[in-house]
Formats: sequence, structure tokens, C-alpha cells
Amino acid sequence: MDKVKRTKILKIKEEAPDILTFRVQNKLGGIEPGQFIFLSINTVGEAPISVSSINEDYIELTVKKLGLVTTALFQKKVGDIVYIRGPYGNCFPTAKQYVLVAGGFGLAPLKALIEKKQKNVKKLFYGAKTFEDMIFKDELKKWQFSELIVERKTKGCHLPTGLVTDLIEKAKMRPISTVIICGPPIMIRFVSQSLEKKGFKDKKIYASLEKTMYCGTGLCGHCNIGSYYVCKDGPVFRLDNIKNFEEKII
Amino acid sequence: MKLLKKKEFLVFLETLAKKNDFYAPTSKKEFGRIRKVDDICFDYTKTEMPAKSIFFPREEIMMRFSEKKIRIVKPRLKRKTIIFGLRSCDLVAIEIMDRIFENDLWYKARRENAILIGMACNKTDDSCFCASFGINPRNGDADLWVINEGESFFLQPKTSVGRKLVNKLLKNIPNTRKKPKKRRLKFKKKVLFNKKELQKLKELNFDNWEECLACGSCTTVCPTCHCFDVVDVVEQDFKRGVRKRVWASCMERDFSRIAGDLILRNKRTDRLRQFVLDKFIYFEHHYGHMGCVGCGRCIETCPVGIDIRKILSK
Repeated sequence: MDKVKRTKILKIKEEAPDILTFRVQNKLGGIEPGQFIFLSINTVGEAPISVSSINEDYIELTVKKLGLVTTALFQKKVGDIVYIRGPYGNCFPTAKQYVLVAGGFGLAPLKALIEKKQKNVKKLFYGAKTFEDMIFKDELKKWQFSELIVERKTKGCHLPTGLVTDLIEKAKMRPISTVIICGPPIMIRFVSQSLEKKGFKDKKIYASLEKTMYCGTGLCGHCNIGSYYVCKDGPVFRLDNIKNFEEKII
Repeated sequence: MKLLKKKEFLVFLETLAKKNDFYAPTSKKEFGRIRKVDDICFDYTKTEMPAKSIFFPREEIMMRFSEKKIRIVKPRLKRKTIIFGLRSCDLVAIEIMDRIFENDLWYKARRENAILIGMACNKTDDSCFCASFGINPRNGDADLWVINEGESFFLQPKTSVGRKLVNKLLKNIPNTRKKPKKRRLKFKKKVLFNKKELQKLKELNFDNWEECLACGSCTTVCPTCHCFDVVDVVEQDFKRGVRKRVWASCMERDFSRIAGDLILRNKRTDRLRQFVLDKFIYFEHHYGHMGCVGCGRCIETCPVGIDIRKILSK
């Protein structure tokens, strides 16, 4: 396992209820969009977390309050110390044109890609439960290529209602771009189905998966699916590979 | 090769035990620390527990931390570790574990500090099937290989480490030209392996083994099972503590839990399937060797009598 690096929280920004973005010093060097790191809080434990913004001096981690580590992280303030190690896993594929599909806080790792290759992103389809649950609201306004949808309307929300698959079905696009899907397994399943209807080939569709993991180096065995380890061979997998997995994950 | 009488051999082991951390079968059950040679058990075909815990302990402290500091804890190894009584299957399993933990600080430190002394099998158990993997129970890759002839012992160094050990401690005993008796061991059951046929395991319906309790005994005794959890254990003041890795088992229900409380392998038979496919198909893909060495420990320990050979022959 790699050495754990001590790092300071530089900034905390509220994105949505129970979702915060933590800006920490980048002590890990080169990280590619799609990779993840391990964040640890002494006395609580470690958790794998995706990187939502990569800069030479800092990285940003967008975190939802879910488990022990993230709950403890939410109690931290600017200037507090946390520990990170990594980066682990593969990164998003390089392509001339991207179509991105995100659900909920699955937008977090995609933001790092958008920041790096904004010119190449043709479309971003993003769905969330309500407008309040959407993350990166400021950035979404700037991203002209984004199309948003919510499951439920709330006061003052002018977005259409439905699922992210509705957006894809309505959209006019030729199936030549590389698609990256990031969201819960059930979303990946239905999105890939509607993309196939649009004529996208499996080899052009990628999805970022998540599984329990403890080491990040393929030793602890938790993230094993068939002949793959999600931490080493993933987390980004091509759809035809996912379909050939020994176990049904999406 | 050297030929030693039993008394001489025990003296040889005694000197090893005095100067090193010496492990040998203490009973039919396990490898344990030996201080007196009388405690060594010679009457065993294989120990119930493999020797893996010597290099990959059930619980290992990886780091110590306080609120503001974190530091890696390396294993404290003052003396050489010597393991005596490893069987051919155990040695192959250690070779596989070496590949798995190739870059692991803790395992490597322990492993590089160790000398392996193997011992040839004179008989087999009903559960043994190492020959199916091309393993020869009468000849293994240890630093020093011992063949037990009852009242005398043949010692055959196989590496420079083994040669040094023998040259240092057994200077006065001349080399022998005698050869150990040839023995042909009988195996109750053999499984024939064909890589293409093994792929058929994927289509096998594991619901036929519904009796599986998913107790995890098989993964505990398997010499190549290497999964672990990482946990933080905190002192009473909530300020200091240790980060440990603890053996885990793919037979646990929580092993495949992901966010949203989704459990990938909810059924017990799904977990049995993962265990079997991992050993016979996925391992080969990751480490270039099957994850099974045919020691048969899982067969002996299974409380409901699931026999992995039967699964394979289906």
C-alpha cells in the first residue's frame, strides 16, 4: 500500500443537502479524471472517494454523507487535517467527442473530465431527484452543453420532470461520440438500453462502477467481479466488458 | 544429500529452534512456535490450518495513529523465521501467495526473513488431491527438503540458503550416496483438469449445493485465500489507535455490500460459486496459477461435507 499523505482542508462548499465539496491540498501529484483516492480520518477509517476537480495545488472531493468516514468528514472544518493516498484505478478514455450521462452525485467524477476537456464535451445529460439535490449548480449554468431533468418538481424549479433516459431519447445526436455513464447501477442499466436504441455501440459506452474496497491494489479481494478487480482494472469499464462479467452488476 | 539418524536430526532441529523463531506442526492441527523439539508432531499428513498465518497473520497492525500523526508499523523481526514440516502443497501455496503479495510491505518483510524446510509425504489422506495439479508430494521447492524414513532422515538442500544452513550446522556429517526409498503414493480421487472444461464451471448450477452454510471455514483453512478487511481500532480516549487488517471471507454476506445497501451475492450458493470460480478461473487470470493446490483442507473442514472435487467433476 502506498504511503498515506497528510493534507489540509482548504475550502468547504455546500452543493446540496448532505453533499459537500472539500478542497484539499494535492499531495499526490498527477491524477487523471476517473481515478479515485482513499481518504482516511484517523480513529474512524478509510473510504474510496472520486476526485471532482484536479489542480496542481489542490484536489476537490465531492462527498455525500453516507457512511462512517463521510459522516466524520462532515464534522471537519477548514484547516483540519485528513489523510489521503492514491491515486488508484484507470481513468476515463480519451476521445474526440464525449457524451456524458450522470445521475445524482455521479456527476462528481465527470466534473474533473469536463474541466479538463470542456471543448470535447458535446452533451451532458444530468438527472437528480429534485433541483435541490443537484450538485455543482453554479457550474451547470455555465456549461451550455448540459441538459437537466428532475424526478420531482419543487418550488421555483423550471426543469422538466422525468428520468435521464427521457432526455436521451428526445435528444438529436449521431451515435459517434464516446459515452460515459456515472450513477447508480440501475441507472447505468437503463441508460445503456436507451443508448443502444439510439444506435450507440457497446464499445463506445463506458461506465464507472463502484464496489466495496479496502486496499486499492487488488489484495483485499472485496471488489473482485469475475476476472476483474474494480480497483485495479476499473473503476471505468467498457459496456461490452460489463455485460460479460461473471456476475450481473448492472 | 545427507543422511541423519533420528537423534542427530532432532539435535539439528533443536539448534535451529534455539537461535530462530522456529515453527513446526505442534499437533495435527497447526504450525506453532516450537521451543522444545519434543513438541514437534511428526505424525501428520497435513495440518488442519496452513502456514499462511505466519506471513499473513489473522490480524496485522499496519499503522498507528494519533489525531495528528500517522505512522506505518513494520513487522518486528529480530531473528530469522524457520518453518519446518511444510508439505509440497504448502510450498506451492506459499509460491502463489508470494505472487499475490508481491508488493506488500508487511508480507514481504516476513517472507524475506524466512527459511522454508519441507518434508516429503509418506502417506495421503482421503481428501488429498495435489497430484491433480501436477504437484509431487515427494519433492517440493523448499530451501531444505527432508525425507522421513522413520528412524533416519535424508536432508537435501535445494537453495543456497539451505546449503549454507546444512554446511554450517552439519559440517561433521559426510554426504551420502544412499538414496531414499521410492514410494508411490495412492490418491483416493483424482480430478482431471482441462482448461476448456474448467470454463464450464461458469454454467454450473450451484444451487445444487444448497446445504452450504456460508460459514467461511473453507476460506479460513485455504492456504491461498488472501482477502482482508481494514479496520480502525481506537483506544478509550478516542484519540489514539491502530489501523489493522483482518482476514475476511467471500462467504460473508457483507463482503459484497455496496452503497445503497445493495448486496451483490445475497444467496449462500452465489458466494460458494464466487469461491470456486475464483480459485479455478479468476486466479489463473490474475496470478498465472490456479488458486487451488489440492491440499484438501476445505474438504476436511466443511461441516456439511461439500467436496470441491465433486463440484469439479460435475
